[in-house]
Amino acid sequence: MDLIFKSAHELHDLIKSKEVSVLDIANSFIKRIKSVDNKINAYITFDENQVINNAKLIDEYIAKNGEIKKFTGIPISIKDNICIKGVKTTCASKMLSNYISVYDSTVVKKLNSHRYLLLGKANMDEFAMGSSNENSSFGVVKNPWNLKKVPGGSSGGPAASVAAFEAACSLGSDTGGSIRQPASLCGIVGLKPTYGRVSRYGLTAFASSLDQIGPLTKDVEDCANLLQVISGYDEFDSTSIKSEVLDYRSFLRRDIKGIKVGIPKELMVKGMDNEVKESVLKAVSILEKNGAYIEETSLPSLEYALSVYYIVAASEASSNLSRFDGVRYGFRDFDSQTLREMYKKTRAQGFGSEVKRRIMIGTFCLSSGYYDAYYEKAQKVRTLIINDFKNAFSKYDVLASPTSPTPAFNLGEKTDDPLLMHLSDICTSPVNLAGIPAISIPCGVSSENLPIGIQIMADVLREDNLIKTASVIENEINWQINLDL
Amino acid sequence: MVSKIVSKEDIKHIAKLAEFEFSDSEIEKITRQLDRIIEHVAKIGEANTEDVDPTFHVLEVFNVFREDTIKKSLSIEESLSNAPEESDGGFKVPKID
Repeated sequence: MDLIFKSAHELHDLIKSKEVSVLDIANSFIKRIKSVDNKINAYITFDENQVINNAKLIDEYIAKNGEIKKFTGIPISIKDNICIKGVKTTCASKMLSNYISVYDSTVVKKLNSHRYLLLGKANMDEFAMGSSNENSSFGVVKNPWNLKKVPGGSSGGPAASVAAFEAACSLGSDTGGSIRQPASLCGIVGLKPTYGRVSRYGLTAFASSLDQIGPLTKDVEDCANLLQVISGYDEFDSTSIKSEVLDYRSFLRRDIKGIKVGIPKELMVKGMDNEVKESVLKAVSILEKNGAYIEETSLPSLEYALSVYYIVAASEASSNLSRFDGVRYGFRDFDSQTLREMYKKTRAQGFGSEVKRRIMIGTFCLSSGYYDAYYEKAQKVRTLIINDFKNAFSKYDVLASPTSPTPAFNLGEKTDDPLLMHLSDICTSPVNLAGIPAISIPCGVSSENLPIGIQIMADVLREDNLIKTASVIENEINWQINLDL
Repeated sequence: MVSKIVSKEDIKHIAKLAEFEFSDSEIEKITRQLDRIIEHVAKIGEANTEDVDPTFHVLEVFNVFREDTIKKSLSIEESLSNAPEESDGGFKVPKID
């Protein structure tokens, strides 16, 4: 069987038993990327020679009896808003198309300590703003299941690279659903950790109170392993949490008898695709069959979550993206005669239309006269949403919902309507507002042969409950990625 | 469509605050789109938030202090390595107006 179809933990076993070399693995994935990425466009930066050189170095290390850790020699793609020293970090923007990182993000440092194999930097929506990966200045990403469909976003490249067997696993970032929604649309596993569980040092900031880095993988076991490696306190991120990292893998294939599952009726939204609803309820019934207690519940403030998300994310983005002014790095308009003219022309030409729109909305919500009615009001409603979740988790161990209200939609279908596009995040964005962790795992296929995902949410720092429940569903569903690619 | 919340003049003002330059047709389009989006998100005005504190941090994490000791940081060369223009160890910019 070809190595590209293996999960990361299967590849680890093969490396450990010396059945394959890291170079064998590198060659298989390079061959795959060269044969399919012209159709998918999952990668922005891919340097074949670099991959081969690194693979040889890892093999030499192993030959000298170096320790083979979980991700030693495992081929991984990294979303292009996560810094790797000496490698471009474009954020899929013209603004940073030539930017070369001068330091490693903390997550990459942690993976380096395992001697992972970097395959390349994965495509995304510009500055992680989007739900379809159509906002990239390096071209749209296609869904490997159907090339006429979007892969979801903003981590469209990470999700598509894993689903198309162009990487064993990937790291993405999630601000309002940017890991979970593309994982769902591409039929893979994606997890957004608790806010502060994973260091954001070296992640290009979009909305700092919502952003988290997390894993995109083929199965729940890889998800647990990768989460464990990247988690932990970091003195370079003052929002990271000083709390022990659990052995997430130990929560696989556990008994879930007596676990309480709430189904928030606000997330079984009107206009939701029927096949999505059926698949999600079927997955919930698997939990029930395994002894879980299921109940419908209500989190009334979730009605406001999308609006709150829109305001908070745009406001924080408008502040964070003020650093892109053509002075210290990135694109500059060289024709300008004065500093102020240079700022305006650099930003007008360097940013795409969705990024500008969000900066404009955020600037409006923070501007004098509107701050109280929009930004401050949104932060108060956010408190209500957090309280609703706290209340729910006093009764339930986990909550379940669809990840996305529909399977993958057509390319171009929603690009002219920012509000319609935004509805894709309806089930995922409340999770970021509350800072809680959530996972998306595949739970069915639509009549059009497109994957459907279920989202499971847990209380702060209870990623163990996500792994437990997701593992039970995964074991019964026996998921296969079936591509004509 | 008549603008209800956001006017063209508002958009020009916001563009100035955000250091953007837009053509007249872009101003028209952005005014239309923002008006629709702002009208939509204004829904939060309905929520009762009397006596509710705003959230500024989702978890109860407080300011983190450390000893003010000198640690290794980026060199001047590294800091300038992505600069569009540099001069004498600093970032060079057009005339400040």
